[in-house]
Amino acid sequence: MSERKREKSLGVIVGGGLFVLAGLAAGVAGAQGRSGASAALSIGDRIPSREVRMLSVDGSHRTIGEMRGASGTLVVFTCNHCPWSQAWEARLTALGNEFRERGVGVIAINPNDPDAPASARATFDRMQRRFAGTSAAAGTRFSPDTYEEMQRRARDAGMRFPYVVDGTSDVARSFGATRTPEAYLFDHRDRLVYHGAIDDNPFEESAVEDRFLRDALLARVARRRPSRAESRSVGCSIELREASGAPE
Amino acid sequence: MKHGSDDRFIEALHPDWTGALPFTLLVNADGEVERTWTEEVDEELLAAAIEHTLAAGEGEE
Repeated sequence: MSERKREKSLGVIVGGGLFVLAGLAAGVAGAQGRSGASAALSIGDRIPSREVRMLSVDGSHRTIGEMRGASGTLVVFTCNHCPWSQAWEARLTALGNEFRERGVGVIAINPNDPDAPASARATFDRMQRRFAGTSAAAGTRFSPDTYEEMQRRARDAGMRFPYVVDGTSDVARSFGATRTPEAYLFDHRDRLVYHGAIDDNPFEESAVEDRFLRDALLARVARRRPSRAESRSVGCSIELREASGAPE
Repeated sequence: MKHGSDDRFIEALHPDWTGALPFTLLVNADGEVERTWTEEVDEELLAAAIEHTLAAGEGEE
């Protein structure tokens, strides 16, 4: 078969987002087959791993259970290095800071292995080139998933809620979390009422049309069901640690 | 290049995709998704899958 004919015969869509091709293909970034993940939580499921102690950026240990609020609990898996987590960081911080004051317990969890391949740097560099000039790309920089860098990011962002280390990645597994950032909002009875994205546009806040998480939080404090219970967004695969089978 | 809502894009690309990157799809000449990978793809494995799909396409001509 001629090369031209081969080119017409198939298509390989690489990277998922179509805006980062080839470089996110074989051998670059992503989980290393360390799954062991549980099935994804369904709306109505209860909070898993409530009593797992996780190291927070202030040096204390926190559990999801002790962060529960009178109106509900927001758990967000996020990290330092992912360009999507960085793009949404200010908005997530603002939401967390606002709604903790309104009775929603908030906790951000970094599930990543900080020793993940250096390919994460390659991914970041490609995203910087692609989104150069956008509001979210400005000011972002490669940020390894170390504890010290978590402390710096939390301080610089002004987080007033815990940002903790999922030291075995088992908490992420118990949620069935697949990417960063990924949000889970539970009601006052610990039942999942919203799962998914923060909003519909990570890199251009001015172009956001659907503020999924904010709308869900407003519904929660009003003791109403969110109008939209689930949404999806592009993000970085969680760099899971080797499955331990035991919490930290 | 993708523009617009992630949610609608993800749904349109593949209903089982969570949005996590990397995500790789192998599409045959009929527009059918042959395989997907939701994590790092071994180069040899990907090459073999492509060759298999091409060979299957040749066999149908």
